[in-house]
Amino acid sequence: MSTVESAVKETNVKRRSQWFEVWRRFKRNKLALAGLVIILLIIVLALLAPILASEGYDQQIISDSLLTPGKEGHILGTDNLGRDILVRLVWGARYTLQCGLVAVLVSAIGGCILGSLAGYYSGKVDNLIMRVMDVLLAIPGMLLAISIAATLGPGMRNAIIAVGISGMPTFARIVRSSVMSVRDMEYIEAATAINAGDMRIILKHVLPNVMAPILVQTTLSVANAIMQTASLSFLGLGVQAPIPEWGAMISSGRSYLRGYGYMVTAPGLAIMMLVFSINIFGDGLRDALDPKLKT
Amino acid sequence: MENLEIIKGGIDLSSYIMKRCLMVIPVILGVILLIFIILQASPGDPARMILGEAASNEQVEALRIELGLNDPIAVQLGRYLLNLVQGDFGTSYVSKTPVLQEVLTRFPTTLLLATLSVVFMVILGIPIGIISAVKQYSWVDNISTTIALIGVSMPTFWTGMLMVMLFSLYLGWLPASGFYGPKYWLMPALSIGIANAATMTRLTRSSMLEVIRQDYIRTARAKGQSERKVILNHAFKNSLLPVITMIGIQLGIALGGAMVTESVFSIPGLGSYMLSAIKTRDYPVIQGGVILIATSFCIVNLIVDILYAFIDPRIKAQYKSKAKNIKKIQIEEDNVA
Amino acid sequence: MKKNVILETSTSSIAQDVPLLEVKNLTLHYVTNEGTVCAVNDISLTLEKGETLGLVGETGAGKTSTALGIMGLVPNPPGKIISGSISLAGENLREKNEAFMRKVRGGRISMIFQDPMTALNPIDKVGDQIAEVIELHNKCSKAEAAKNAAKMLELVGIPGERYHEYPYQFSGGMKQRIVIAIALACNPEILIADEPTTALDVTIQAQVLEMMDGLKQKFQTAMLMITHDLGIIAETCDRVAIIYAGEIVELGNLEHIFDQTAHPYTVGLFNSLPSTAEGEQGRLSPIPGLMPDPTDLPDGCKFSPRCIYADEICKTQSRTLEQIDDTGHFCRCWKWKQLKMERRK
Repeated sequence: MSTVESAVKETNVKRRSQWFEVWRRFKRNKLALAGLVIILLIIVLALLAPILASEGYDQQIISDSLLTPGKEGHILGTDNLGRDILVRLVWGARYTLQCGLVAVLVSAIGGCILGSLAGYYSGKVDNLIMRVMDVLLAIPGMLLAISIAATLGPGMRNAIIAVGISGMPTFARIVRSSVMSVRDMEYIEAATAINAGDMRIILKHVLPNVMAPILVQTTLSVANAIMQTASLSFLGLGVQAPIPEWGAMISSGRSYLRGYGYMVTAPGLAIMMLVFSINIFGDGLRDALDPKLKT
Repeated sequence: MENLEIIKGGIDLSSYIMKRCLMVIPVILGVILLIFIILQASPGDPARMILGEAASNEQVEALRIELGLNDPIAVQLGRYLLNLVQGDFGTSYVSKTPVLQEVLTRFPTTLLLATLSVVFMVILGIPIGIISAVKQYSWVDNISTTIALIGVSMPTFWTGMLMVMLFSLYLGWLPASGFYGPKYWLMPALSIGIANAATMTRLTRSSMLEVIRQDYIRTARAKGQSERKVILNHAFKNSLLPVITMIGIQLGIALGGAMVTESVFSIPGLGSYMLSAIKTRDYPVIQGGVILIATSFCIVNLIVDILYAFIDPRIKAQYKSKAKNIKKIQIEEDNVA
Repeated sequence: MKKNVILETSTSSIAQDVPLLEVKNLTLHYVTNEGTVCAVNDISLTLEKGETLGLVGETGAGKTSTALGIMGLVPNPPGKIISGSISLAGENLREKNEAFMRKVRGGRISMIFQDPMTALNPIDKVGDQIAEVIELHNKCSKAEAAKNAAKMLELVGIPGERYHEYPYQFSGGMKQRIVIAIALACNPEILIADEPTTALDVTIQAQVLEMMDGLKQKFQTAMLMITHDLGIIAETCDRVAIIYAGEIVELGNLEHIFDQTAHPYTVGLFNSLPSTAEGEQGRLSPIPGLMPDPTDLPDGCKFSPRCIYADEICKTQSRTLEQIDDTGHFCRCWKWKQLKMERRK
């Protein structure tokens, strides 16, 4: 009995130190670290919005409309309805982040379930699921999201669902191939031999080992989801006024390009900074998880 | 002992091509089914939309029966498919004209935009990717990788607007909207092309890096080959496969995302047509447009797959046919570590 | 049949007393994040026309690095030749520019590598890959190059009609033959063979070695045979150099090395071989310990940590490679006389 216990303790210690190793490698990449810091800063800003910009994102002071940056204490100026742009940006962080994160949650969970089922059971189940994924992939991503969003109607929740669904096939594919490569390994045979149920095997043995590629894909997908929801909002199909999601802010600034370009530049720069940070974080994460893949 | 079937001379490529074409059809059928279901699920009554708010309930009901909207979904789908095969994509609820005609008139514009953006993507992305790979870790590599990452992080509609602000409003060099000639094409194609070029750079770079590490590159150098030819002829050709795949994918993305760019630059293509159709819930148009774009995407992927066979002889061999001129040669297989 | 065109060589105009290849005091380091790897430490060797010099050593001893250094193929970000000269027929290659080296590679010195499975370009026809090296070093038309390439295929035992096939259609042994065909296509003066048969099956090994020997006789090519297999040395080489931790520790002809073994490491190598002779059963006797970490080489003799004869002098001062008799037998050891006397017993 004691040998088993000590063996269990040993494996637990090993697992903890595995993640520590990853963190150590990640820390060495200064750029990726900077990306992480920026992401965290934006998240903090988003969470603190009600405190930092307590007047809310829709305080319209028409007499103050279209002030260029710097005038009268408005660091980034005001829009056509007199709302402070910096305030709207800070509030917008909440909605932009929300859209990106929740959409990816939908893609990841849906994709993982479908991918695991397809990879683990193979055969007809695999065929069916992958054919459906193929059909989804045959419609270019943006178009699919637009179609679904158009069907469901405008609004943030529908935009999230649309982007979430169009991101599922990517996750499903990755999970499926990881599951298939792990499935034939011997410790799965061992687990089956001691009569572990299928679901248990999938959750406890297979998934932890496919964590790495899923993690990397998740970060990349968040970047993509943010861009897609911004595009949807830009087209008027996603977030509706007056919610200051950054894509929607760019859309409302369209008519004011001549002379009041800051209405478009500011939210665009915000998106760019966020997505850039996510991308370099994702790259650093991928390198830290598997240094052999480092290019 | 292993039997290797080796074909002397040419391959029956047409059989491979036909096989691939056949595999496309079920996917397209799936797309049609999917879009049909999606639109069926959306709220709103098409008949009401055609006749407008003023029409009476009886008129609406009569139109519903006439259009067959009360029939079970399977029947409606069947009818739609039947019409499709005959080239009838339905009629626009808004303009009352045949969908196919409207869609085909506007498709070339979108296709041109997408193709131009891919051209920019290739011209900008691939050379920078190759140079980054060859001079890995140098300042050239670091700068171009960072610029590529920035490019990927910029939403295309925003890039487009920035270009309009700079080149149209501030400098006055280029027109801000329309699609009447090369001057009009430049900015829209570039705004998509730049973002995609960034992806292209990253992909070319990583693909090349993998290939450069291979032993056969060292063999090429040991032959006394010039470094330029080693990189371009040996290394680059071997890294083409993922690069070509990406070109295909990006062409599809450009086709699908054209809506956004067409909106920014007011380009009268398929994308903006579909956008207004979505806003007015003109279902036949939406259906027709999506089917056309998805089909084009499938065809692009098909062409990419076929190109694979021409680039990599091992892939060609996988799809060899049982043609008459197969010569069986027995080769002694030795154990290779 | 070989070349019907002019190939630039300077051998005809060179005095006969200069060796074909002379490596003097070559030192090569790889500078990495984890430290500087001292791969080659002050190596000197010579190669005469038509002779085969064996380079024996364990993995990591510096054999491949020496060969890459001669070819000028050391990957330059980490690798750097610190000092030394490499003279081909009297001309120091280190002083030449890249254009000159490109003419040397494949034309005057060729190299073949260990793993045939990955040595050929997968998307080019095998015949074209041979023709490429012919075109690079001869002024001839594509058609002529192709014809000669096909002839080379025949020479290595592959039917000429298979010119148009791709590497994946050949087995490992045949791929290695193609590699040899590429290396010898332009009749180089020197062929460097880096463990050419290690990745092959024993029976194929014998075939390939026999073929290489035949070609070598035919074209009078000098060969640098890098291997860790003493059996191959016995079969193919005229002289042998034993490499340890980037240094040559013993150098001589076959008789010197096999019968008059002088250096403790070489003795250890022979002792590690399992013996099939009658009455010589018993445990294998490997050399205890491991080769030193190339980023942290010991002072003095690099073999001293593992040597049973080592004493204070050995551990603090390293000896140069000295001639120990007048028939060209060299050894780098303070204790070789002591060893010789012990072995006589």
